Amino acid sequence: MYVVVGYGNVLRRDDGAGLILAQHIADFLNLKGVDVLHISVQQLAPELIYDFVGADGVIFVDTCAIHADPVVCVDPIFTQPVSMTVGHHMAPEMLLLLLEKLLDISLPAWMVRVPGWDFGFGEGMSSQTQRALTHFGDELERDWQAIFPAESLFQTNTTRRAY
Amino acid sequence: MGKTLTIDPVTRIEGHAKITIHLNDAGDVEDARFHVTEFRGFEKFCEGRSFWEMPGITARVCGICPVSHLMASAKAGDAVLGVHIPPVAEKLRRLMNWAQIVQSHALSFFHLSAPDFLLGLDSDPAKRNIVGLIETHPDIAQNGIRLRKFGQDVIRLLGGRSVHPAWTVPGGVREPLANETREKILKQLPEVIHIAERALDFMQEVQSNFEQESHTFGEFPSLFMGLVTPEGGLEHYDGVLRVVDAQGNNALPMSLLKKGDEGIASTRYKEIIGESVEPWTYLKFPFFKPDGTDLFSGMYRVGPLARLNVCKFAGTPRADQALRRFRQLSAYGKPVLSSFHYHYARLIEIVFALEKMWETLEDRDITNTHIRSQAGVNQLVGVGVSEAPRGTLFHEYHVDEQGILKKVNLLIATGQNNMAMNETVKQIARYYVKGDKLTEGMLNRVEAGIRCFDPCLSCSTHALGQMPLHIQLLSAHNKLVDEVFRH
Repeated sequence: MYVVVGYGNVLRRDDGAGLILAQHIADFLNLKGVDVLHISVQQLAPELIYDFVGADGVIFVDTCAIHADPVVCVDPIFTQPVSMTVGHHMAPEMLLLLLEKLLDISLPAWMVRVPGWDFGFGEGMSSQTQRALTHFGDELERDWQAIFPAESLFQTNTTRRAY
Repeated sequence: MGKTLTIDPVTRIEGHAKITIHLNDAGDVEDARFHVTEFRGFEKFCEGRSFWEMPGITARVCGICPVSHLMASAKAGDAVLGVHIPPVAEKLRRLMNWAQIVQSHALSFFHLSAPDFLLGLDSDPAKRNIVGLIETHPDIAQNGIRLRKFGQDVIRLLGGRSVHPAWTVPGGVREPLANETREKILKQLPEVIHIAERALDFMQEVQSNFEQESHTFGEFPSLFMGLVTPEGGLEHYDGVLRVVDAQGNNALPMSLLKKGDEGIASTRYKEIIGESVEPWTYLKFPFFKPDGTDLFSGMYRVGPLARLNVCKFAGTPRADQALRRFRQLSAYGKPVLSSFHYHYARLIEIVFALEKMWETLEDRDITNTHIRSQAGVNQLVGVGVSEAPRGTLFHEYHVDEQGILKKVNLLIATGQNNMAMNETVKQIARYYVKGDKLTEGMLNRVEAGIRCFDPCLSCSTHALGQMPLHIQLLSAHNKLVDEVFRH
């Protein structure tokens, strides 16, 4: 079973793109016969680690405000967080570290980042983010196993893939 | 020549903020300011929407305390409809609100503040965090997650999901409680109460290690405000608004009270609260109008510490016992004045919330299916008030006859603590900042002082954010003298 976690705020325009894409990925993988647990949250909080127990891997999907290219990127996540700072919400790396330290579980995980431009109040997304989502959806449809290889669906490697 | 120390941003709180500390020629602290660098905008965004949508919209102000906005918003909606909701709907809303108190306070105490208590305020910041806590006290870290999970599970079981459940609506709630769900929650309560009581014991044990902090982390006279039951008991959902002064006396003008009243109707908040703005922060400064001849004389505190100071009793056995011990921190009959004790107050509120949940779930009527009052727009103004984890939350809606919002005012707990947070920073800085060099111990304490209030700047400015730490020391001529980054 794979956990797909989308997070963001649909009332902050592009910030909601992660939630929308997570739903799409979960539905898509499900149709392809992959057992998926889909979770939507505004921000990551520590109790989510209990949802990862028994999973084979986790895909986090978020909007990213700082991006070099206007495309969706898929990166492996390593359990060492860049920052140890914890607030009311956490980074995926911190959640994975909690999972490892508290429950002694290590999981392969991926970060899917949607490029975002407009984080103002309101519904709907910017045309650039919409385009990036559409393009990623097409790529997923065309060759999903290249993005998420079936035999080692979420085996971590150091290669970033941009779509 | 004066100098300014800047701590930018502040860590382990919600949202963007920085602190500047202003030194005089002698190198002593003259002033300190807590700046909020996010802007607010949700109120404007809501105009033109239907009041029916408001619980769902305003819940998205914040991912941490969405339930608080659901409560205040639904209550404002009840007022627009002009209805009394069915008794079981009120009980169910209370249940969700207590679950919210549990999960929010658990995060604040166990994960954000426990590293300060357990690892020490002078310990290496690289280790004084949740990971350091796991290494030295894994049981504490796990208990925090367990309590949070319980709170979130109850919210999810009631509302269908743990974040932004569209369950609380004007007129009541959408779905009744199934008996199976009731039993499922009841079954977990003994374990989580045990966890909360152990944390309370721990807090009582370590109090004496923090004597200095308890006198320097925002210990000053101020007013305290919160909801109480009509009898004066601890309240989080409804009741009347009570304000006490630093001596514990009622501070509300007698002209607003009838004999025997513990407080005023919370919908009359505008008669006692004014709002001021300062050019150096986006966070407004609410103040108590009857005492507000100048801004700081109207300073009041809200949240767990204030709620325990304004109530006469808690109303549950374990919480009342803990409250009696808590009150020994001050002279008999006087409020506890130090903001440092917000942490302790949070734990008592967790115990109280769990006890109330147990009591409410044992009432068989809780599964009654009459959960919603139906009506159209009957009032053009509706005010909804509830106690959020961080303090009293006000939603005020002005609608037209079709229920379209013409004006929205959200008065948020963190905003109401703004003056007290500034005063706390100033007091800590005066005690710990010496000379023009930034030290870790000083920075840690200034930050920890702000964390006492567990501020949610996403709520109070209605924006998003997270932060590393950036501190600058500037001279009176804005020349950079010292600088520290912490990521």
